[in-house]
Amino acid sequence: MKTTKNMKKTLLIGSVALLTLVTAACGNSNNANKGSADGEKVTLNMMHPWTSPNVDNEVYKARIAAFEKLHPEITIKQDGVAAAQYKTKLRTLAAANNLSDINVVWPGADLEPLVAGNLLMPIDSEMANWSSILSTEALAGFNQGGKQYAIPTKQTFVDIIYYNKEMFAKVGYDTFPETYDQFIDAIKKLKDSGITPISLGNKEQWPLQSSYLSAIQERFVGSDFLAKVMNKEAKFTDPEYVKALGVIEELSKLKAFNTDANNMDSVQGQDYFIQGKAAMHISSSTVDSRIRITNEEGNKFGIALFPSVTGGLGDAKKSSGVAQYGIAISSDLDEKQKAAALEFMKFFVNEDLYKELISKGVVVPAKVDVPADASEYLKEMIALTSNGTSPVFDSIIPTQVTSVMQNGLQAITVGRMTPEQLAKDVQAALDGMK
Amino acid sequence: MHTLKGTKYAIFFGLLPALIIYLGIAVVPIGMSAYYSFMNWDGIHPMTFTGFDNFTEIFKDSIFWLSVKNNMIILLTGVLGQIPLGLLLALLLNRSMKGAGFFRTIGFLPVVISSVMVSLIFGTVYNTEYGLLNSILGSVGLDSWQQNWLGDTKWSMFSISVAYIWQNCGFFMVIFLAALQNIPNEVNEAAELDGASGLNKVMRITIPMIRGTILIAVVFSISNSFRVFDLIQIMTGGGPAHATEVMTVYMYNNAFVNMRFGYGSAVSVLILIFSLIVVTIVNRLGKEKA
Amino acid sequence: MEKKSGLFRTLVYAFLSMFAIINIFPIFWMIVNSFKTEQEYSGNPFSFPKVLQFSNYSKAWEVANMNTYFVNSIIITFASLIVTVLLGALAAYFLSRFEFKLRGFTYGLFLLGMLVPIHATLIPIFMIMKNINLLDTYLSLILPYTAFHLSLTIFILEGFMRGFPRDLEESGVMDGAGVFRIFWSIILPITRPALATVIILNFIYNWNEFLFALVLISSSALKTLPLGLANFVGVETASLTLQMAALTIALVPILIFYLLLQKQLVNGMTAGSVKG
Repeated sequence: MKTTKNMKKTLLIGSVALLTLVTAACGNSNNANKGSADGEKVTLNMMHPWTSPNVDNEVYKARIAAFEKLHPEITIKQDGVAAAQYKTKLRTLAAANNLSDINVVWPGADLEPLVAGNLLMPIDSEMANWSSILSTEALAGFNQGGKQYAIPTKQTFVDIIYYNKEMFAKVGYDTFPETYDQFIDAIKKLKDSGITPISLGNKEQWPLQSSYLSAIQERFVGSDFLAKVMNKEAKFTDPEYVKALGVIEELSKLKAFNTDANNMDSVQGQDYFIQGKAAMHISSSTVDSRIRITNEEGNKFGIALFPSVTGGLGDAKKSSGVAQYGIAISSDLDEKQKAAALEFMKFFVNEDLYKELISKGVVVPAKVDVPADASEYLKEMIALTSNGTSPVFDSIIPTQVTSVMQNGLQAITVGRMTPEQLAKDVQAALDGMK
Repeated sequence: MHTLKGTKYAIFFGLLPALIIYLGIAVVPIGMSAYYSFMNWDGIHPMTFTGFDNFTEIFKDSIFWLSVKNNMIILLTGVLGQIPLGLLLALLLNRSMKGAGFFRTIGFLPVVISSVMVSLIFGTVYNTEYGLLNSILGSVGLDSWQQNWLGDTKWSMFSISVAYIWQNCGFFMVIFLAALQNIPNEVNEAAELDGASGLNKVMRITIPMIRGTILIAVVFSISNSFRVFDLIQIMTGGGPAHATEVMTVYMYNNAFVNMRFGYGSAVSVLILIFSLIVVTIVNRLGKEKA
Repeated sequence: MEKKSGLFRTLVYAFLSMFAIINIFPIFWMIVNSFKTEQEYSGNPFSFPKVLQFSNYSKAWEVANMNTYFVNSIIITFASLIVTVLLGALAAYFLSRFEFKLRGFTYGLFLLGMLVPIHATLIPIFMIMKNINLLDTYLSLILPYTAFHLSLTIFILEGFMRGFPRDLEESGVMDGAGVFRIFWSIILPITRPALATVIILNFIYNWNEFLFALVLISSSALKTLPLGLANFVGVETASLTLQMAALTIALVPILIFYLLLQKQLVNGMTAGSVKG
């Protein structure tokens, strides 16, 4: 008797366990992994990194909502993935050949594998929609092998020097130093007067590579150097390039950075500057909204580009920039989905989007008129960055070589490596790529 | 030992569901990953077989060996830091004393908070300029002890180890508490009748009684130390200049940042082999002594 | 003698109090900061808020999509927990109380799962889920959570059950009870402290798990809390005070769960002495 009672108990528990599994399975049996098109309705999946509460993220989400209102027959199923993990997810999905129908992609070296794997659909036949407002230069990062794969939504200049005008005035510079020698002189004077010259948050390692090296290498070796390296016409070990890397060493030896540079993230680096604890911060044009546009005391800060270098082969007026957030369509869609996806793209990335972004203080890659009511800060930024664009390091150089560079730059700041060694390591990493 | 009819079937059916899920979702992926470790694969282009190339490249990479060394530091920190501290706390709290329940709850807090939080907290504790640690040292006149705790490669591993102990010792406290409470009261009473008390009792009676649990804790701590990831990834990202990189971070960077899934898989195979070796040795030693 | 134990007591309390402060402080710090504005926090992370920003909590709730994600986390956490602990306890029982041919091998196999770096299995698991058509379902998380935590569960429970005296089952066998009944009414009750331990651990792991949820789930209707918690950090911007508010909210269920189970941990003692 007792046995049966306990058997029952065991059975009961077993069935509860089974039930949880089954309900869990059934609870979402309507899941549509790939976008589906039944009858008139079309559902498209879209993966994007616009989750944090930002000005431009709000603009993007509002446009998706507006599109769905305009096209009740098309549903955009959003998969918002936090920016820091977005690439991890994109790469895993790509490895399993399972990209979303609509994706946000990065240009150049990041785009290359997706194209090589035939995961994205070329959109050349539709370019008439954008060719009048976007220059070839703006589109170049998303063009591979002569085919266009994505349309960018915003332009990021990565090498803007934000500086504290009062602090510079204090050490005798009413304008930002024009030459590298003056720049170093200013740093020494700032240091002597007890001010941290540059705030840096390099824990995630990209700032020294993206914001610093991109600008410095432009001054020393010019815009086409990286392309030459990729074509094996130049090497990182060329003396001019080693000199460029030497700038990071010189700045480190001068103790130009805050002591916590390698364990603060980029946001903490910004904060440090905004709080008036450092005289300069080098970062992208995007953070202007935090440093000046939405900051009541924003007029304390000025913007500049990296100064010119004597004997340098590049152009001191150029800013390093990259067109970002390319909207791309998966190659794995049926005709109906394809039509819907293109419809979405035409609506999502158009002149209105760029205008909205500009009115929020975001720099865009398109030739649209800057509205009269745009922020003065934005106009200043556009003026500063409109004299030519040079490439960003990691948009040309493959990811695994970039990570050797990033680690090495960090090693230089803690005195564990010399520029010569780093140049050798990076070149070896590039040569050793399979 | 049971001579019941049908025991064999009972064993089979009792183990079956766990085995099916485990084999299908854990063992098969491990096998797949072992397979990838012999491939050159970026996740997109077709895989190509490269034999032991990945492994020879790993063994030649000094950064890998640095990460192995850091793993050993974490391992020792776990075994020599977390376990004794957890055991001490459990022994102190396994008595009728005021506030024991309160301390038990508090002791477990670090285990439940996510690594994001732990990293945020320790980031501010270790900050050189306004960090808590340097402020405290400064306020008691120990200015010379102030350090760049995470940024200086001499100190960064040490600082991480402290955070690692803090995060996990509460867990071992709970494990040991559970074991201590399972010691029958008669044993304690008998020991007290024999005149054993205090430290003497602990060493002679209590510790031998929970020897099995201690061995479990050591093995668990070792396996944890080989898998530590979040804490380091968020706190320092493995930097500065690889100084705090452990094997899992090394693997993750190669597989998911550099998109070398084959190479990353080879690293994970090595992690598995290394931890198997260490765990087997510890298990042998533990059993021999018993 | 008296004096000595008094001193000992004071030392113990001093030590424990310091330990408690070190443990409470971070949580306290997090809660204080969750009520500050972003400017106050970046200005001084150790100050108190001038005005309590309760709106941080509603904003955080919204940004982290907690209406949906909270429910999903509870479903997935409990489903995995129940399956893992039930199957794990059953397996641990057979592995610890019986001798059979492949015992050592099976036990070793299960242990292997504790040593695998889970990141290595991410892509294989993604492919398996894709092939069995489970991508983007609750099951795509429940199955891996169960599979990987079975190891730890079995490891802890087996070790605990192994320690019981060998004649424990005798009375059951005398009564003519079956194997499963002995498991249910003799072994399980005295395993309670260890059960409580593995239940808490499974809860924490499942509740905080991020990577698998990130990759295997795409529909926002099915996403879990940790994904929402990551929503506050962009590439160059972050809303840390909002994130701390969200982290505080996410902490509440774990704390409640732990407090509930802690009683079980203590009760385990009496249960053990009565039955054992």
